[in-house]
Amino acid sequence: MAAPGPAERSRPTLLILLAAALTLLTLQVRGAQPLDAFQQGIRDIIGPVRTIVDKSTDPIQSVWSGIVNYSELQEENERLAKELAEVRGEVLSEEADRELLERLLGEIDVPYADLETVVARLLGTPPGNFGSHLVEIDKGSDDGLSEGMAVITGAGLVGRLEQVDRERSVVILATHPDFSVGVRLVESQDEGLAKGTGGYEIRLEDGVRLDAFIEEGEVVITSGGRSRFPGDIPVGKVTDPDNFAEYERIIKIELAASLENLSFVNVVTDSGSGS
Amino acid sequence: MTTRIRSFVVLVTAALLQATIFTEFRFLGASVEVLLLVTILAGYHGGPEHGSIFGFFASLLQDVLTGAPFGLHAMVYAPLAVGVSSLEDRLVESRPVIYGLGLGLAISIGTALAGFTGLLFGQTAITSSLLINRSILAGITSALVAAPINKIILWSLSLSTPGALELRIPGK
Repeated sequence: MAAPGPAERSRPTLLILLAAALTLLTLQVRGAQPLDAFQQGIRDIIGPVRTIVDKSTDPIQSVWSGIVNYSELQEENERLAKELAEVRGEVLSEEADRELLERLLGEIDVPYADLETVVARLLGTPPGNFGSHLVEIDKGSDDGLSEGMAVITGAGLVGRLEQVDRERSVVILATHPDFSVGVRLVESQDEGLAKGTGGYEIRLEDGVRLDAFIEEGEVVITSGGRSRFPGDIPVGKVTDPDNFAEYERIIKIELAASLENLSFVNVVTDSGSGS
Repeated sequence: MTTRIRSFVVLVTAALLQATIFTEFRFLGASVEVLLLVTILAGYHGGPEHGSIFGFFASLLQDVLTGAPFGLHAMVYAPLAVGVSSLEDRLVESRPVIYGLGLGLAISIGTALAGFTGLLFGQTAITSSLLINRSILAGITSALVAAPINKIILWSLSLSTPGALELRIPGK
């Protein structure tokens, strides 16, 4: 009888490895803490090396980015110039909106700007090829951050902390399909759950009455309460109120914060529940 | 140094490269898939058994780096290493460009399958256009850096398969 070839000998090994992989996968999907801790431990070991390499290659990265993304930078430049011209023409209406927002925030006595935050620098996208709508920041549990904390900029909500290691964290952006946040419409006072779409906007699909009249441009803020985010953080403006929906209402919201050109963000360390 | 120690060194080095240089230097958003690349080369040069075990540990490191659940990438890497190992006899007389194309294709397939597996396990941010786009770009960029990594894989295997390597690298 002939001895089995290499491919035949490897079959049991492959089956054992696949079974092990499936077991690990099942355990982690069900929330096995030791596996999470093990993964985080390895990332913490690699973390300092990443930081050193990141800092030492900063100038080269800038050159590389200039070469590879030249056309994108040119397009961005043109887009920003166009936007600036539009913004100049809309200053008055923007100011009116801001006044309305400030007045409403003042009424409920929880100033958005007074939240306790940690400033973090954006490092880029996390390793891997499919980390879309995710960004890495240079602060972690050593700086008092923990999973689920809200991430904001001066303009409004950016996302939440998804994975927190000792020296760095991953932020899931508000546009990510897994992102959801409780929001309130400032004028109509309707509340609902807004979700990321994987595109540039977020959608408010649950909670808002079908007969509630909502104006285009209405300001949307976080609702707080049972939500994991503090209340009254600006989220964005309604771009499509879907006022004539018959069965299911989908309100489109344009985010106030620009997620494309982030450099620094603020992580809200105080949930505001105590205030 | 034994083959196991050398393979361990290769895996750790590949993981560090993946987490640092190849995460920072991307081409149109896509990064080189170093851990998948070393898995494929280990399967090709080291045979199905070595490739599958090597690929299993490489995939666990990939899970750690990308924050994916443990075992997700192993569902793709280990079988791919076994699949690639069966090609080595057929490509003995091929030209380097054929190797490059084959390697790029294997990495594109592996990346796409890993993305698809991620989609099955709830990684909802992966769209079909992103999957195709990144898989193709990852295949191209990874094939471009494959030559030096190929030599490192050969070094890691040089103690376990003396002589056999000559059969697997035509023209050398």
